[in-house]
Amino acid sequence: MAENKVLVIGGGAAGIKAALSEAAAGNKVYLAEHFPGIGGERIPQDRIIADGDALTAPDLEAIKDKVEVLTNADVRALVGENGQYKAKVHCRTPRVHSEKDDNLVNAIRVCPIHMYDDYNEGLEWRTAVDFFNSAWGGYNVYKEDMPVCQRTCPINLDIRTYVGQIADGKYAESLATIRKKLPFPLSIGRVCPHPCESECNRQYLDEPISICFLKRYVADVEMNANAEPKIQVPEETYPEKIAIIGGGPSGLTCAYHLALLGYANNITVFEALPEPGGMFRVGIPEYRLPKAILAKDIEFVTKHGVEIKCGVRIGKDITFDDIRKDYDAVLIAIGAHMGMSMRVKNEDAEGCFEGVKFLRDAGLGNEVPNKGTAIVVGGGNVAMDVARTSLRVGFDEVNLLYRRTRKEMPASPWEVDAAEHEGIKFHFLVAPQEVVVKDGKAVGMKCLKMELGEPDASGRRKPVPIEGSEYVMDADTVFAAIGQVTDNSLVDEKLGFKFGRKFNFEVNPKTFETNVEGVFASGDAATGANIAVRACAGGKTAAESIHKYLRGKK
Amino acid sequence: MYIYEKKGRYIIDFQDVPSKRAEMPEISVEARQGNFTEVETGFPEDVAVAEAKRCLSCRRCLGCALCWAECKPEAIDFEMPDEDFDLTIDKVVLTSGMQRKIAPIAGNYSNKHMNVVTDLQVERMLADTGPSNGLILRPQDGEVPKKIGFVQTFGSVDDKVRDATLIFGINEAILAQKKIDGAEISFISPDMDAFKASAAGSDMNKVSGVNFVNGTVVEAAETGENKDIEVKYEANGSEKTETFDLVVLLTQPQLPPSIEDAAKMVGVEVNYASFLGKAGDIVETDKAGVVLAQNV
Amino acid sequence: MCTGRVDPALVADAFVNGADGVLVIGCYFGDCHYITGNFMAKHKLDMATEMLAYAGLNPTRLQFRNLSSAEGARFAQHNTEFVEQIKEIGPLGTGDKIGMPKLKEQLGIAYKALAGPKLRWVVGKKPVFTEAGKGNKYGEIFTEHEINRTLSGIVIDEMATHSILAALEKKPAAVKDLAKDLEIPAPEALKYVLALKRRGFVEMDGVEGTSPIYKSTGIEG
Repeated sequence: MAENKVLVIGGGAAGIKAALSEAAAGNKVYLAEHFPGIGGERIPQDRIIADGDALTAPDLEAIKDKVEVLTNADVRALVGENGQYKAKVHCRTPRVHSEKDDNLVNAIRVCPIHMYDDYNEGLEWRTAVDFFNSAWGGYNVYKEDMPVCQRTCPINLDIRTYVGQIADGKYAESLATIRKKLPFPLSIGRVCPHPCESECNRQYLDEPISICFLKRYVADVEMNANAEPKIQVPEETYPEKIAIIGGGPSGLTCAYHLALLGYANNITVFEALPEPGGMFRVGIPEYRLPKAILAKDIEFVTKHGVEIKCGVRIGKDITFDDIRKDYDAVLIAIGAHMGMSMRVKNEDAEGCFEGVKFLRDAGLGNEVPNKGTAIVVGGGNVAMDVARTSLRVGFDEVNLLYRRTRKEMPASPWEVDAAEHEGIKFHFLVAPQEVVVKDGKAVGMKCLKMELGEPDASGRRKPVPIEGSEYVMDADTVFAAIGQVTDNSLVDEKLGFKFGRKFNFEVNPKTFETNVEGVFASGDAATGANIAVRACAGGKTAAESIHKYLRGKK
Repeated sequence: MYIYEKKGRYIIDFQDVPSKRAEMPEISVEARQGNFTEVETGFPEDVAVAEAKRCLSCRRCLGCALCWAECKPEAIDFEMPDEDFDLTIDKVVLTSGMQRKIAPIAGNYSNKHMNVVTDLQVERMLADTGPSNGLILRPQDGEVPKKIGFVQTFGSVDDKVRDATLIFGINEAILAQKKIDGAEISFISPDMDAFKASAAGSDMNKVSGVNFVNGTVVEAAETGENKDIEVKYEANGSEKTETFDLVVLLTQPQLPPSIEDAAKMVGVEVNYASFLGKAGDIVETDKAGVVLAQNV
Repeated sequence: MCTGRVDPALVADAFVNGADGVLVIGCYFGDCHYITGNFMAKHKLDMATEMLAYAGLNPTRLQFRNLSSAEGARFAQHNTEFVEQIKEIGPLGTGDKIGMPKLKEQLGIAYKALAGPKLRWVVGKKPVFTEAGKGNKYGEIFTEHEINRTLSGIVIDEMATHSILAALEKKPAAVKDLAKDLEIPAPEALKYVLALKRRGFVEMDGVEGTSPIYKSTGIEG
């Protein structure tokens, strides 16, 4: 029989055993392990141990001879059928040629950095250059790709550098570091829910550092000094024209990066609303992000040779086909501005509103309902914005309904606290059942009380309705803020775009290309409603893909 | 012990003078009424700089090359590239990998109690080649604990996974009891009765000296100068409190993303229980040439 | 001799041998014959000051000043000023964070740490790491804040490591006693001891009651 080739994924005890038996059968065996080493003593997990039976360790000598061990390895691709497979295995570099020096003890003794030891579960420290475990060895230099904060940030801002520059008092340099990737430091510095901070290593010492507000600080320094930001775009530009539909965080970030890549003065942004800024302007209320400050950030983008045409709705004022004809590449970054339905009876009665529409009207200075009592349904940041805005436009009382408890609320905890301070009344474990209507007008909400049931596998307790606990809460206005979806009516069905669950454009997650050639989509329009900085990150990646697409065409 | 959920995180046990996070100044609630004035007013310069100085500048290898000066020529190579292999193979063997999820104890527990460790950490301590020469140590002061509590803080959904979880913990309890003279060991799990009644638990009568309790942990807190751990738990309908020198948290085995991704790419559906058949067996899947190596 | 060659260990040695103050005077910044010698001196002495202050010395006792060789009168003035300041503090062990003989012991440990390779190597990298276009082996540029933080981290580490080693050379001990004697938090003392064990400087020497005992292997740290 011809020799078979076998790939074992995972270098645990079971993997080593399987690899050895495959090798014994005369096969060529590869063993791929994520960590830099394999083996070591383990406690048996298949039986209760008898006396004298202790930890077992696999036979590593045998494996060194008979099996090709790939450490630091990740299987990046694995395709095939019927016993014919192709695998791509990526091995991260150990940065040590173990064959040139099999005893690095002197190097290890002088290494000035100690750190969490993965193999021993953090019980002791290893140094930056060290072995992985004593059984296998596996010398490696532990170099991070990025610090945790940077890796968590959707747009991978170089936080370590820009915060360090603030500590050094170099504010302008710090701002320049941010703007290498993000053109909206003033806005993002105010509104970002900063996932980076929840990963910050300082939390294990005391509290995470205030990354987001530091970004705001350096941006404010420039703004308050009325300093002119430096604009630098390549002098030579490419001839291709690019259309960006939607002037929000994602569209404008894409425009900014395209300008930096050499498309300045060839980028047109079409904005349907009378003012640019997208959700920054019409989703986030003035008290969190003043419009005048947002305008500064947008001005910074337009100064890079980006034209914004406001009040132009694609699909109505200009057809999508015309855009495709006139431009070499198109980005759809229209966000998610349509409220989701609560799926309760009478929800289209007079006096019921989509939360996002209310925020949009308030943001654009249009007339909004403002009398009496309001009910806000939902537990996300949009619900908080709606509630806090309704209090400011003049409602006497604002009640917020959420079907789980405070702990499960997706809204940022500081937003919830602020809403509570300002006088929003929270009603937890309450599910809306039906809008109560009188003379065709909403007058209240019929609610059902919930209680927490048995914990599930993740330990989370699911709310279950309490039977017979219905009651009516009076209201003059009901806002639904339970999620947003994309209004994708600008494109014709004939074009064959694929859409996701939230009516969002389906894209290649690495390149943000849609299934239609030359058309890209990013931001909420591609990911579904998400945080602003993720939309910006999508815009940046889309810019890089558009650049690659346009250069590849030539 | 600080217990970190993910392996391979870039954690350095940093030292620094503790300092409080700067608070964002805000306008008063009264001043917000009926207007849209910006609520947060921004850091003053001194606060911003002080806050920035709290940054630990996390970095693992400094790239200082001191080790390079100490090793044999070119053994350490900072520019050594990653490697990619394109393999054509006839057979893929998937394993369960080693990843475990931590379900924290309720109450005022914040993953920061020094004398709470995971079962994986105890496994490393029990290994003769491990960091403590095979001794179980309290991370608080390096002493050998006399009174150890093994606690399971989650309810298992799958019977096979439950058995694997408990067997791992019970083996550790047996080894700990053998190693430490006069050890008092309690083992509290909400699945204990169910486990004892199952086939896998039939060997339980051979285990002596460990106090097995079918109970649910309610709370754990640090107590006294030695930072012992006081555990409150419910068993047989009543609430009990016991104080341990060391508490061992059982963890929930789960498939690491690397294995899940590989299974998805090759088109087989697996979960952790798929790897819990007869130890060491090779199980076929519905894809020809893709097999699962059962845990040993 | 160029001030760039003033070794931090030399300074520590002076204090160990009873000096009440050390004044290092170098050329004005920008006037260095070797271009960066006096900057280097500043970096090294800053680090030495941090280390010695951490060990318990009053940092006023170590100073760096700039002067040209043509300024005789100012040289005298600097010296007088410095002597006045030191007189005010008093002899070594008064006006410091800790008194004698503990201070001398601590300074001896600081000397060992400063004479070791880690601090002198990393402080030497400071100008390269922070200069645009250069950086570390991976071409990454450090902020001043980061390199200073890194150095402080190594100072804390080296002080703890060397004091544990010195204590274990005297007699084997348990972690909790080391922690009490050396005033290091016990959880950290355990980590340091385990790290030293991993690198072969320390080994376990049996268990007394509930306390594992560690002893030095005699390998020079």
